[in-house]
Amino acid sequence: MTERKFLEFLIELMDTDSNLQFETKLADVEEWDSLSYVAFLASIAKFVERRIEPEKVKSAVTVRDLYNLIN
Amino acid sequence: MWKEVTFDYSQHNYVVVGASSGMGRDIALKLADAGANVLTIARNKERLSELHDYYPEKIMIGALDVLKASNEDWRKLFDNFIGKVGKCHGGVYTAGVGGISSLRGFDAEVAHKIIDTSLYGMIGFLSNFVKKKYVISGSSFVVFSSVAAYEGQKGGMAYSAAKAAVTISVKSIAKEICRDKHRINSISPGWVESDLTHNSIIKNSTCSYENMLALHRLGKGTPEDVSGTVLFLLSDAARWITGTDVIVDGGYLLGID
Repeated sequence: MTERKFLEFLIELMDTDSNLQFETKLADVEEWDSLSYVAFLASIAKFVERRIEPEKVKSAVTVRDLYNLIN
Repeated sequence: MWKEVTFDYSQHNYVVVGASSGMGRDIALKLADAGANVLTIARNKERLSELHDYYPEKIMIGALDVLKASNEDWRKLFDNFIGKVGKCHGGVYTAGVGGISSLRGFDAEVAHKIIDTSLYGMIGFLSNFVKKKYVISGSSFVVFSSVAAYEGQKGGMAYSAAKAAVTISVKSIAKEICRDKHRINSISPGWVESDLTHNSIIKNSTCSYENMLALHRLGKGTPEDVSGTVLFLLSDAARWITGTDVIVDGGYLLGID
């Protein structure tokens, strides 16, 4: 998935209007709540074949960390 | 109308799904009468046009079949509406179909249609509509359940299942959307005169219509007996109510003496 598409996907998933960038810390995004990370896992499964471990998503600090999980 | 209560929804915008008939239609009319801009969504464009003619400045229409609509279909209607009137203050989902479903002579297609219209159609609507770009924070959503969610009528297993699913899923949804101060509640009407109940009289011979009506201690319901509660739930007088079901049934669920 391209970087741009990933950002769009994440913004849509979280329904955030904050200016999300790859360096953005997830902890700073109000909408990255307990539901977001399971919703991320569920939706990303449509685009990625291999299984992403929930612990890896939980321990992601920045948006780029999330992106690196799927690429 | 109601004697002691007058609603003022001027400068407010709402979407009503299933507005071409029955309770949905009355809700759309009452909202427009109270000054709101209303996007009415249903399959039947003709019936929606009649609604539009009552309040041409206030009621906008959008034809969509909740069973077939894609995410893009929903969003196109919302983009168009929001583009004209600004963000919305809530939405009402009233679409539902009835039908007999029993173990004997089970028709899977009918059963799926019943559940898809009441439950999945509602989810399709909400998952596309409850977004920052369409609704302001603190919006209120009302969806339709039924007294059928509380009792299993003979021959009504799919309808009861669908409506029970609606009331319980409302609680999950309430937990999800409260982060934006949104509220969602369901409403469970008893027997109200509408296309749905009219068709059910014709096709249903599993229980006595007279007996069922007699249990409605305050008489048969009209759409206006129910729409008042919906408008209340949409209002800030209900600002501390979320994740619950309001039974509006003329005393039906009280059962026999």
